[in-house]
Amino acid sequence: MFKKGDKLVIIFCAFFIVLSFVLLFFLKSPGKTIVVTKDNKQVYKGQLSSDKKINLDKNTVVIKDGAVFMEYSSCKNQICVKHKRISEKGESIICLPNKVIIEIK
Amino acid sequence: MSAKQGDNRNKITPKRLSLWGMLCCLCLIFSFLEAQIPLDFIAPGIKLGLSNSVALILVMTGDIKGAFAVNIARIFLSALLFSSPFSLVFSLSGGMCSLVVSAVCSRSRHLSGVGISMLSAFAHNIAQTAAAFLVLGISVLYYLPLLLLSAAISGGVIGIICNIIFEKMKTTKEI
Repeated sequence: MFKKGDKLVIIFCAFFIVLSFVLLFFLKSPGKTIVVTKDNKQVYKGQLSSDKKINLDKNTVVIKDGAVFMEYSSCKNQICVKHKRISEKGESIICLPNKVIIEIK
Repeated sequence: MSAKQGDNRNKITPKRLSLWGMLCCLCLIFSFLEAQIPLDFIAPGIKLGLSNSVALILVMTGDIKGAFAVNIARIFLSALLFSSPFSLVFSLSGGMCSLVVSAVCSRSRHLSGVGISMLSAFAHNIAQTAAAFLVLGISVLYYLPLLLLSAAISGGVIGIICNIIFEKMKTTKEI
């Protein structure tokens, strides 16, 4: 049933997973910029570290404690408002009805 | 399985074809069950991969052709039934990659189902992340460690299940 090679595979896999977690830890850079676009036009660009409230006519974006979230949106589905706070590079909140995109770059 | 038995298996008989059909059906049932258990809250794309056990058993019995046939049919059908055709790209790349790896690994005498399953689960997730990387960009790479961890766990579990089934199958002649 359980053979010698399996042990090696498990050790190899464990090593690989640990390695990937370590690499990810180092890859994450703290310097993050937030870009808010509306109708394909950039309306805001700033640092994640500074707290701010951005008022767009149909949406309100809030940057607080190193995380961004959509505080208010006039749209029907409210997916963007329910979306969890984002704080990592590459994450985004998209409000499709109002064509608002918050990205962390 | 000896090489001689493997040669006998090269012909596609109606019996074999119907077996593949039934196994494909089993795969779809597994896919349906999996669709009821959302594990997406951990990271997108995490799955138990129950239907992979069917392909793995086929590979372990030496029926590599059958494993490919069942898996390709399963991927297309489950993509149409349970997810968007867009996700076909991901499942196809992952499925094919993992099958190739498991077919190669099954040649080794030192690996049981657990080893084959874990390695192919790894290949599956790496191929899928590569496909997602090409489509969606660099941000998906951040999910890779989590996906690999889940691959190791689910691959190990599926491997243990397959080992048990394979042992039971040895005592029955007809497969």
